[in-house]
Amino acid sequence: MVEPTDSELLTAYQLGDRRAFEKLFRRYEKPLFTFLVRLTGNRDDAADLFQGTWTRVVRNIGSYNEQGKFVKWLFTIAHHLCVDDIKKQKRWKIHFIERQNNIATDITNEVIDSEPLPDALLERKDLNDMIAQAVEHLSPEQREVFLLRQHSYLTFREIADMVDRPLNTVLSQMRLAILSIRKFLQEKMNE
Amino acid sequence: MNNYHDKNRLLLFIYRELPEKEMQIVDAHLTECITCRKEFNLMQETINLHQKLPLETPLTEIIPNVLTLKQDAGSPKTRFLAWFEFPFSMQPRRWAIVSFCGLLMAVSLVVLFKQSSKHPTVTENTGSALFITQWQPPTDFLLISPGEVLLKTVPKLGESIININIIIPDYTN
Repeated sequence: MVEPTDSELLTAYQLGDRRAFEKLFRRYEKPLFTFLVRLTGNRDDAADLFQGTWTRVVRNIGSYNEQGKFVKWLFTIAHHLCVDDIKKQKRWKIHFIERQNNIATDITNEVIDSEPLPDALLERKDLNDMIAQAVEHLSPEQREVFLLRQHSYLTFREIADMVDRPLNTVLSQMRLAILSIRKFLQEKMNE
Repeated sequence: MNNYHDKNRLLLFIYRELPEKEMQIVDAHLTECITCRKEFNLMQETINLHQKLPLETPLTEIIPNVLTLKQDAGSPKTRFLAWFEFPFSMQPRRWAIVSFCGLLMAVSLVVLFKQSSKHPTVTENTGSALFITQWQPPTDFLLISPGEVLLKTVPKLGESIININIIIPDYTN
């Protein structure tokens, strides 16, 4: 059975089909919530932002006229709410964990081990926790770009448009994020 | 692609965001360039590891709250209020329009107020029997004298009086 597209579900919902909205919600609830949790680092804040995002979607669904993809609209709302919330609470400074060796800024000058990660690391039971920690240790801009690309189904060009930065800057930040995560994992392995 | 060692372009390749022709060029380059292939493998491996992380599930109490929101979606009042609740950072144009309208209203009110507080102009028309002199404060009283028909009012709190002199044309000449 072919799944209805987002456009079809939106049209059905605008015409009054409530089950269409539920389908749309179920389709994106986990990626959206995951994005918010990993961006904010706090499940309670993520829950508030999650509810706030869907509230605005529902309230503005009447005026949504498919200028772009629904998922882009959804994540744009979530991202902006997140940024507004973090600015209001000034949490960027608190959440960005200061590290003594300042991985994010020095990474381009270091020689990164370009060999695959060892099997011993890949087989560790706490690998998922280490990866999650590695993402938390990214700079806010890198974490923002990395999580948007990983969870929102948006292209780099769309992300660049959303965060109002040049495409090459976004790509560089993504690349630095990946290298930082890798370096973090290698350091954990060596502990 | 002019710079075959463009690492940013490798990311576009990994996520398949390049045009088909460029995808083929990069693919061919990776078979020849060990440095770029190592970089590609490194990035691909890390991305895949992160993608394997389990997704977070929203708290169960949130879901019914969201699903019941749809009942208010059609209310005109809700939609009107929602227009102003949209995140500022998302709709700068909307807020620019609202601010401009507010400014226009304020300027209009100021202009209207100034117009209304101007003294009525004194016009004199020799043919007319009525001309209005300047506005006087409420404490003034009008006099009644023979030959003149004047309006006499008792000043009330906050009320102003306009002296009205009615000129009766001189028919004797």
